[in-house]
Amino acid sequence: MNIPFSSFLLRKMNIATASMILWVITLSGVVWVYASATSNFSLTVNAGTLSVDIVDASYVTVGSPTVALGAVTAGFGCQAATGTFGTSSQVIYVKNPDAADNGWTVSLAGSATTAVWDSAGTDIDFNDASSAGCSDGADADAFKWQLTVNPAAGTLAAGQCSSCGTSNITKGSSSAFVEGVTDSITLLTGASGSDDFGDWRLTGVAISQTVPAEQGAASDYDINMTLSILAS
Amino acid sequence: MNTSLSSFLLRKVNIATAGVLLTSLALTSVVWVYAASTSNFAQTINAGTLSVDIVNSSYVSVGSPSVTMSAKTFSFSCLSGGSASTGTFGAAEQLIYIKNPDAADNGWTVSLAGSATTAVWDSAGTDYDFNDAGTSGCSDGADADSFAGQMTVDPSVGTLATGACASCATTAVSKGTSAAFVEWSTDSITLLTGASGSNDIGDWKLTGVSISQTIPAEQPAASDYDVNLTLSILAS
Repeated sequence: MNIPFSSFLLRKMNIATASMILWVITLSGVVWVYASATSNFSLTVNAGTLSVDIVDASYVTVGSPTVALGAVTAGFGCQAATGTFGTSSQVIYVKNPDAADNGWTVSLAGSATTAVWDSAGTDIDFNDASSAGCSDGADADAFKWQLTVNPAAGTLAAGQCSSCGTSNITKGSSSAFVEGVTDSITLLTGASGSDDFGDWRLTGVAISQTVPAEQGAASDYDINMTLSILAS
Repeated sequence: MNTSLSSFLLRKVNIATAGVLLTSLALTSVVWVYAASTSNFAQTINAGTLSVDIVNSSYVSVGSPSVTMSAKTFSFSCLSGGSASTGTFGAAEQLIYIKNPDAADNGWTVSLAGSATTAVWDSAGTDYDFNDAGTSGCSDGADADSFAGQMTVDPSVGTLATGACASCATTAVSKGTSAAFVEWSTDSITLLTGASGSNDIGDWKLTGVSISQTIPAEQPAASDYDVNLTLSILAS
């Protein structure tokens, strides 16, 4: 019997198709391979927190940082007691983990503008400008005394950041607290050109406190001063 | 037009929300406070040293303070009372200066004494005494030496004033009374007493303390008689 070639192929094709369908049905009971593709792994690095702190030489926060001014002797003339803010074991530590690319400013202020050097005896002021702190001026309290801060005398250095420099970071100039006028004093300014990722250490900020005449002897004068950092 | 309450509130909420957003945007363009750290600054004022000294008008210590008594002419009789040699202890440039820099809150006493109870008006010739009570200094009494002579000190006629302390007063500070040195019984004479009510922090100056010295009869003429007297201050 003669079978046309086309019919022959069709029949052969049907066999092949049937075999294929049979294989597919058989394999589907085992495993299906759908596709092989490239997976996209994503990761976000968030900016850290811009901060200023007092740390030790290992960059561990100091729990209760202190500054002890040199003792003076009670006298009848106005005098000055001096000290240093920022030492090798109590470092003023500024950290900018890509949080303030436009720069930042570190300032020092009293815990309040009405803060005083507290004592069990007679308190004394830190921001009275009258006679350079030697007499009580027109501020809110009746106490004398004025604190002068001179960051320019300090030493600035990069911290843990191995690639950072101190470029575009400037120390503030000497200034004295005046209630209502100079309530905070700039210690450091990071310009926009400073490292976006960086940390810095400041030590040796000179502190000078006017001690008024006839101030009573006591060993318990103290005041809290607060560091803060502001992004530009 | 009637407007439902919910629609009204929704519009108000939108205004409030817009306000908050606007304020937030405004603030973010000013400053951000990220962190702060507080340090405790501590200060000690030590009490100074309670002291008495002889200073000039600038309160500078006088290296070798001196008192020049009035010269007397040789006499065969005792020069006592109104005839005695006189002087003034505490002058404009040699102030008796007391300083209490919070060192003696309960008060203090300033006294004058001879450099020793056996001290005398020394001379290359014949010495004489400053603390012999025999006949008011006109004769040698029962003390350790064989010289006559007696010194009387009268602080009550002096002038007391505050020193460099601007807020101090002479309240509760009193001058002593006139007294004469007597070996073993009055070896020191009180010039000033600061009671407990006097300024805890204060300084004072005393001038014009009257000094009178009885000179025994027939004391040889000489220009080198001198004796050292010492000021001291004691806290109460």
